[in-house]
Amino acid sequence: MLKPIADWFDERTGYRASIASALDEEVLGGARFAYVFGSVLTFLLVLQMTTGVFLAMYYSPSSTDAWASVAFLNDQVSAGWFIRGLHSHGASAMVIVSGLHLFQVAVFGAYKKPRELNWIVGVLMLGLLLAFALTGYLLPWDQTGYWATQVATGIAGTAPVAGQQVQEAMQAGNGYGNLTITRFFALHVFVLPALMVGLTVLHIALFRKHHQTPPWWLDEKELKRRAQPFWPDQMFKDILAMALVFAVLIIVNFKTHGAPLDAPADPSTAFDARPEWYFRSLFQGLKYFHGILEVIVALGAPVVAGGALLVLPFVDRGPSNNPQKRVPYLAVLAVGFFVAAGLTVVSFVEDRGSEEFQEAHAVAHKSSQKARALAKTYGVPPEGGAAVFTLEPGYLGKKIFDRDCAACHAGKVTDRQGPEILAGFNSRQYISDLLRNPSANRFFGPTKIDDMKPVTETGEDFSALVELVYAQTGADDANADLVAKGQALFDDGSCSDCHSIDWDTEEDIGPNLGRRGNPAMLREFIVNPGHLRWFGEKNEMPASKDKYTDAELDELVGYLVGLRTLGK
Amino acid sequence: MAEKKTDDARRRFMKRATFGIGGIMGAVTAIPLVKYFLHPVGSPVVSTPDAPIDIAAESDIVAGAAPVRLPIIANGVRDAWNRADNVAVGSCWVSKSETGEITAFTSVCPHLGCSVSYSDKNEDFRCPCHNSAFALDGKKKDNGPAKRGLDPLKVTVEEGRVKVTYQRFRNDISEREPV
Repeated sequence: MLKPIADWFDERTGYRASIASALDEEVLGGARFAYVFGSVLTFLLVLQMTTGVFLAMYYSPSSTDAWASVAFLNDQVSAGWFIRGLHSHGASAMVIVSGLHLFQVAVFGAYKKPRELNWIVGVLMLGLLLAFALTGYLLPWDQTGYWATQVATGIAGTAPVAGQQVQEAMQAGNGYGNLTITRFFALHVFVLPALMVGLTVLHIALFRKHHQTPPWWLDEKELKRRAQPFWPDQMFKDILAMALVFAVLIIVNFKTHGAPLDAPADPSTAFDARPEWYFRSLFQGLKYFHGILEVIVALGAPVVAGGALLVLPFVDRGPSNNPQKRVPYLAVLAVGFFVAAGLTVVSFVEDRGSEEFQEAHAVAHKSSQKARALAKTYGVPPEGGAAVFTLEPGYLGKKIFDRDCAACHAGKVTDRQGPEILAGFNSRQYISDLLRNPSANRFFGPTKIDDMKPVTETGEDFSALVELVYAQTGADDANADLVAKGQALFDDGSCSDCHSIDWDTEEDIGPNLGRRGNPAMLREFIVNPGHLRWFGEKNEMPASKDKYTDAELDELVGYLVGLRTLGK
Repeated sequence: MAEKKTDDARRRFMKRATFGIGGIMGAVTAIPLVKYFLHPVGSPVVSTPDAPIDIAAESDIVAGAAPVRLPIIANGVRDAWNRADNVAVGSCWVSKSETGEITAFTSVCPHLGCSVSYSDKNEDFRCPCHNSAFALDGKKKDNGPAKRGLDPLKVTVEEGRVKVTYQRFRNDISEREPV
């Protein structure tokens, strides 16, 4: 049924002959797994281009939107994490397979005459690949990308003569911002792909002209005898290799649940940034050099490595492809590889052994989780990614607390003048500690209030009293039976000698405990702490009447109430 | 000859396997890509909170006067990854009857979504795109292609402030169906 349609097209395009000529290539010496790497790279390049185009459907290249759009596509769009993970891990796969490709070409001597130009094209493509990685790393505008890329453009800035101009051209201006991101984006999605596709076409065309470099251990007659067609013999091996790489990619993608996304870039914070693993050797290398040496190594190492690769076919001009006869050249490549691999390993080992790094890493992870959860729940304010933290319930309250209250309530014992208000404030543990030792430094020790005796009840009696006070906060998990028992103990015991627990009693020896820690009570207390219902003339806390708007009071009280369950 | 035959069978197998493996890899990539591509379909990526939005003081709207166009400025507007306040999400034509009853019509034309204006000359609403006309009570007039009248927005008056509940409706159908 399809044949007439196919015939119609063939008559007009001649596509059958084109495909046949594309596939019809004799592989001298037979199909080999050694030859699969180029095809695998082509496959990965197509995968990168496909996933890249789809990522662009949800990505917004601006310093205020980039992080938010990546968080959205990663955490909310169906299969978003999967596509983004494929793209990010796919880049790593390309670096690895490029390394294998280069290794195979080097061992087979495939850079030798007449294939020097194709080797050079390949080396340039490797450079493009790293440029892709560098530009892509910044695009999510997260902490890692932001800080790691600062290092890269900073290195460019140390270049002799026109360093600063080079740096400003790379980052598009005197600092990071919208123009940096639009520039990196344009390079990453238009310029570099165009160059990469162009070089790929050239690479394959030159390859088709010169064919595989056959195994050096077979003579001409044997090569001819063992020859096999590219299609399907070599293609079958190629697709098996592609499938293997793809399967590993998918497994890694699932295991890591896609690519990491740190908290939004925030120039006001410190961040322990690390580059992608394939730049780790350079990163680590820089630790050993200082001053002018640093500049020489940072800029020189890539130039030397690239230069050594580029000149290889012109230095190794011997007729033999046998690696045993090219030991010095291969040794240079091997040394280069092992130095880079060694530095990479040392870098990871150092990080693993560094407590500070691990701690910073854990903090960064927590901050990322928080930012992404907030972005998912509330969306990101137009001010930019880092503004997502202002949406956290209690954010404004905490700001007010830190500004106006923390000095007396959250500082070190030596400067604190009031009871401690930190995570766990008014939790059962807090109340229990308070009742056991009201004059402790944590509580009323630093104040004039010193006349309450520690509560001495034990066992369930004590728990009941704690529960009764705890229930005043309005917490919905108070145990009603225990509260009732606590109330009875309160009324019968010595507590009620000084304290009331019904809101309306305004004057007693000690503060009224009714609704203690409840939002309404906290509000009134903040406004007028010297009210007779509480500490009366013993109060030292300044009243905040008219200091706050209703909304600010709500935020502050919300923060205080939230502390109860914080850090549980 | 026998060797040629097994070679042919082997190659036939390799060709099929190549297509098979290629097909599986294509599908494993294509399925998530399609899901990803279609994610926004039927999902409220752009949304305005359901709560009534303050548009004016009741006293500012004159009874019996010509309708006025008031912007609807909402807080907590979600647009994909963004959450923004003070966003103009649309506008509405508001009027007050002699008896004090306030009505509001969204300015989105029910035909194809252009913004409807008020015509002083004709004392009716006109869509500048395709000339649909609507009476002051929102009912469709004879001219123009619109299939229904203007879409009213729910109006509430609280403590002297006029609030509307913002909604969008599907275009170009005779029923009123919220999007």
